[in-house]
Amino acid sequence: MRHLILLLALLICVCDYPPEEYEQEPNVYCLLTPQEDTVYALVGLSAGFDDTLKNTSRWNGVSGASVKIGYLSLREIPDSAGHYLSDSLSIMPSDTFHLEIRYPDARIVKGHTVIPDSFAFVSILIDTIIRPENDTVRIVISWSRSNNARGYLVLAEIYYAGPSGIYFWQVQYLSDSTIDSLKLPLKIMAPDTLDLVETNLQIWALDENYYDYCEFRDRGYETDPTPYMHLEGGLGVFGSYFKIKRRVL
Amino acid sequence: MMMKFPIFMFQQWTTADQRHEPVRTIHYTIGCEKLLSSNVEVSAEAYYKDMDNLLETEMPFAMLVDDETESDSLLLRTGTGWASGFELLLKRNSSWIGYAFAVTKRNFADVSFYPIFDARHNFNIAWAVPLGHNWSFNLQWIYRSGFPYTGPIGRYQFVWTDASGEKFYEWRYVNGRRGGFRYPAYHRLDVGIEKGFRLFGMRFSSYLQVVNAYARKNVLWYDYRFDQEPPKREPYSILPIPIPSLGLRAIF
Repeated sequence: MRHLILLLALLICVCDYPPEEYEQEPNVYCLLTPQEDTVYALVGLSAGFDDTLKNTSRWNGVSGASVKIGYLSLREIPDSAGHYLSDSLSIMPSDTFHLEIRYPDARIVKGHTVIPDSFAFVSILIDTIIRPENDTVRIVISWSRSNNARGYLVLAEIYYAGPSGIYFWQVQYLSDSTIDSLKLPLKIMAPDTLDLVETNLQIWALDENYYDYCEFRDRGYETDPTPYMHLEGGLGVFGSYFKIKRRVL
Repeated sequence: MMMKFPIFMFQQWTTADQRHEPVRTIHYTIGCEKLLSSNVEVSAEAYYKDMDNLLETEMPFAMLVDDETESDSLLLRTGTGWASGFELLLKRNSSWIGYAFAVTKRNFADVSFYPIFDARHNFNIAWAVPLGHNWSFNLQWIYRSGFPYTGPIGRYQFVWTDASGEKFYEWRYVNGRRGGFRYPAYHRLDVGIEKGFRLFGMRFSSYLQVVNAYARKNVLWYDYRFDQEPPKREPYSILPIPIPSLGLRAIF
């Protein structure tokens, strides 16, 4: 009988997981563009679910990491409390850049990105107000293709004048189309009580890494981030983009 | 890096189609019963079940949230599983004590996990006492160890930039191992009193039953308050108060 009880106790104990411990993971954000010489790399750590953080609106940075970014050879960029900054990188379209970060605890994060090519607006057509959706302006945009782009991020900055000053509104749309010319209807709300002052359009050609990172933002909390991150050894993004901008209204 | 898996709070059922083989199960069971006296019996049973061609959707709630999703376009994956355990029962008239030990495991996409209905221990005691003059008193106590769930174990910063170039640091969550956590044990006591009588030549009984007599707050799920620092985990319960019911039963 004693042996049976022992056997049952053992069976009961082995049929469950031990408590799961979470180890902080490397967390990285670094975007490159040929349009800017300055490169910021945010290097930080994730946190445990129950950890109390002092300031959640700031980057949870890590000092003392070795951050190297380069095209053919990697160059180390200096550190400032988790914000690593370089203003001497020469970034050209179609180049493949590599990132290697060695954390103070010797963990290594690696990634690479292919810089999207330059591109341009082909046409911007302002449609008439659509009925019955009053006060909705439709803009049809087309642009040339950017080589190496996985997709495009279209941002509309809309400024309204109201009784208390200027209001800012932003509309964004992620397009996964990779054909040569794209046309995108974009609806912009223009409420009766506000006057539309100015609308600017931005189109970002995104490499695969940054595109997937942006796509992940709209996914639910149950989504596994790993397939969207493209970083070896950490969470975050090492990506690139090329941006064009024009005032349309 | 930790493995991360989607949260599956509910089991989703869907119809299988011609692309998938039907579920195949081989069930082994052995048991014995013994009458200890004219009204007392004891039984024991052990089982093992092997399951093949089990299906689950890759995305939780795919059919529930997307009206345009049709069952034949759902991304289903095939897995295997097994279940094993034993059950003991001691019964005397209308009263009994039962205990069941059960383990079940699933394997999908090379990930082995305890599914959301894997209750390890089930204990059930039912006691019915005749009080005389056609009155009777009954109580039932149910105990079940907690179901598994997948919960967050960590968080990381997701950075996004608006049109003006301003950066925002949004905290997003890292889920732990699938089914790696367990809810607290579920238990409740139901009590009742019943009076039998005859009317128009038929047998009737009226009863008063109280479900969850000691107002146990059994946790159905956790709601996470990510807007607090540190984030809070708030339990949600169903029927956290005693629920009385009054009824009349006709026996034909």
